[in-house]
Amino acid sequence: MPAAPHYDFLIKLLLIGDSGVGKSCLLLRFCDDAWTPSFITTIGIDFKIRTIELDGKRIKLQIWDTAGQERFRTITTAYYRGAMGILLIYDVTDEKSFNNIRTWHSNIEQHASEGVNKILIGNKSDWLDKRQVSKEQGQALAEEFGIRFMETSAKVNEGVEDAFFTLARDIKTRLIDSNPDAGASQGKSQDNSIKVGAPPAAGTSCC
Amino acid sequence: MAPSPAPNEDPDGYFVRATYAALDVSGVRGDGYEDGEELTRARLGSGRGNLPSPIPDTAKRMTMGGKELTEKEIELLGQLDRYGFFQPPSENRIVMLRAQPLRTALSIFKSTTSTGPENPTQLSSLPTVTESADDRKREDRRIAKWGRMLVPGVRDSGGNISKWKIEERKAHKLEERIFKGIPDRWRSAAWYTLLEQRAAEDGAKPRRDPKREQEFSRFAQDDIDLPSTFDVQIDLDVPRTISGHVMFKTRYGMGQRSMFHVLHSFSLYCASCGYCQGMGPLAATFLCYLEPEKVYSSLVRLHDHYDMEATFAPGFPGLLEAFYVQEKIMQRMLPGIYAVFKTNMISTTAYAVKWYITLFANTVSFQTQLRLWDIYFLEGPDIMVLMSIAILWGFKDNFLAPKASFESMLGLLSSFFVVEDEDVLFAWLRKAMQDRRLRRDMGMWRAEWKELVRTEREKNVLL
Repeated sequence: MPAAPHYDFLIKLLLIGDSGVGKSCLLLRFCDDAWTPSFITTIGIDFKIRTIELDGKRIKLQIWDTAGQERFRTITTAYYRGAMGILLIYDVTDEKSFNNIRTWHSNIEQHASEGVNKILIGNKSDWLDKRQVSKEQGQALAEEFGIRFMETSAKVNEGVEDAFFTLARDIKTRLIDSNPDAGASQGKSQDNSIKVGAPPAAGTSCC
Repeated sequence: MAPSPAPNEDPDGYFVRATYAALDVSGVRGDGYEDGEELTRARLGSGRGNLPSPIPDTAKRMTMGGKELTEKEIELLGQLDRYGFFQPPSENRIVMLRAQPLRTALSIFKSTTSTGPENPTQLSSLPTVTESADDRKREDRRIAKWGRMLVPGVRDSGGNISKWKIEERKAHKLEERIFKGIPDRWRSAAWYTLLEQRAAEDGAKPRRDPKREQEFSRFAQDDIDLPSTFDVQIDLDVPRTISGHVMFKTRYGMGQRSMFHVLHSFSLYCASCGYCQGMGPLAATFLCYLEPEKVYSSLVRLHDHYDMEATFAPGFPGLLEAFYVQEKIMQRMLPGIYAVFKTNMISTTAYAVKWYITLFANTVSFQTQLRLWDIYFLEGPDIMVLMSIAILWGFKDNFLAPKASFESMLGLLSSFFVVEDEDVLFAWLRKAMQDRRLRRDMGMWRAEWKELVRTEREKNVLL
């Protein structure tokens, strides 16, 4: 028998958005509290882990990072269905990356599980003199999609924790708190985390 | 002279192309030791209608000329390792691929459990490239041997060697010597010779784009005058490609400009491949050894004669084929690992995309990558599949450990690998390459995959 994991729930997240908007930098900031200006291009898929505490529960976040170039979507969309939450990321200094959010959003509709939690993120908020997309524009688009919105800066570590925690909390509310079985069996985390955290759909989606 | 915008060219794309062209003329300050300044990212959105001419804008920054290096610059440049890195690409998780398991040749390994830990020992940083006096002596002996094996083939009008050839009487030593590692001094000549040799053996392939019938010399002259729809994407990736290396450190420095130029031209070579992320590390590695024109033609060789066309093309057909062959080998040789990957739903796409697309750049140390490329240029694509198998083989006890989990396994597979003993790894690979039955079956599996795709039966076949 595998040993009991050191967490109560497992949540799978996915980062998507245009190339160069800072997906890997956000992930590096969130998981390792680091920043590097000389980040390398993500090829294909990458993943990182961070365990957080939410309302007294230990929640393991398994976060998938994706290559932004369109060609890689044939590979990355296979990972949408297993995701319980998706961060849609654009760069506030790059209008095109903001305009492309609609495409990314329709990709979610097409490939992700129904009811998946989403959050719109405008990254590089520290870069004031280069800003092309206002906070209001971001907010308006998020409202149109009926999802949350936040601006972040992986570089100066602004809003990053908040973004991931907010999304994780929404997921917890949707999948765990509303699930009486999940709530009742908090002591037996093994069964629970498998049930909640790794639905069979997540697996087949990786093929 | 600045190129003029092409009809319907994306203004951002034009701005990128024009900026590189302008800086090609003027150069940049502190090339090789300063970080330089970003000019093409974060453009002024709506104000882009009136593109500022990049020349006057950047000319202020140029201080090229006969200035001596300052002491600080000399000190900085003195910190480079033998391959030109200030700091090797830093990765979060570095694990050692141990020599011990690789001392046993690839064979059927039936165990389904091990007593090993699920995680191998992690290294806190990359070991620096060191050379002992013995290493140096050994390298000197090899340099001399290579000097007798590679002889001038073609000389240009100035008497410089433009092509090398393999001395016939020494040709039987070639394979063994390449597996031992091409001496770095000979790498440039040897790589290009091997690529040309394979192309010659393979026969000429029709050019992908009939409009571009011209020879490779076209590259230097006027490719930069043509727009590529990939210019913005290439420009985005150039500064994030081995930027810890002296050639590529400075934004818009000569190395970055060459990389841009090569990738720009290569994106025009094949209409279906265009530019694919991952080509950058290939171009950059070649640029450390060959002049840009030859880097361009080397990429063309990989595309035409090493199955890289199928690897880069939309849908990545060659990548999926490689996954299929890899998984077939796993099923036969490492059935326990295949089973445990299947149970844990570890898809090959989750870790091996970058292995095959970048030919292990950023996955193993630069020196190991070079040695892998040495044999790849000789042997072709099977090497990359077997290198993947070597990694699985080297960590089989970790994958089969009682506590192994989805996370421990995928974390391990996504790591940066430091090879404990390169000679042992390359001896292992050589032995696997010499397994005639395996090689024959690899060929068969490649054909099998193509047939599955042709008859649309490839779904759910891969892990």
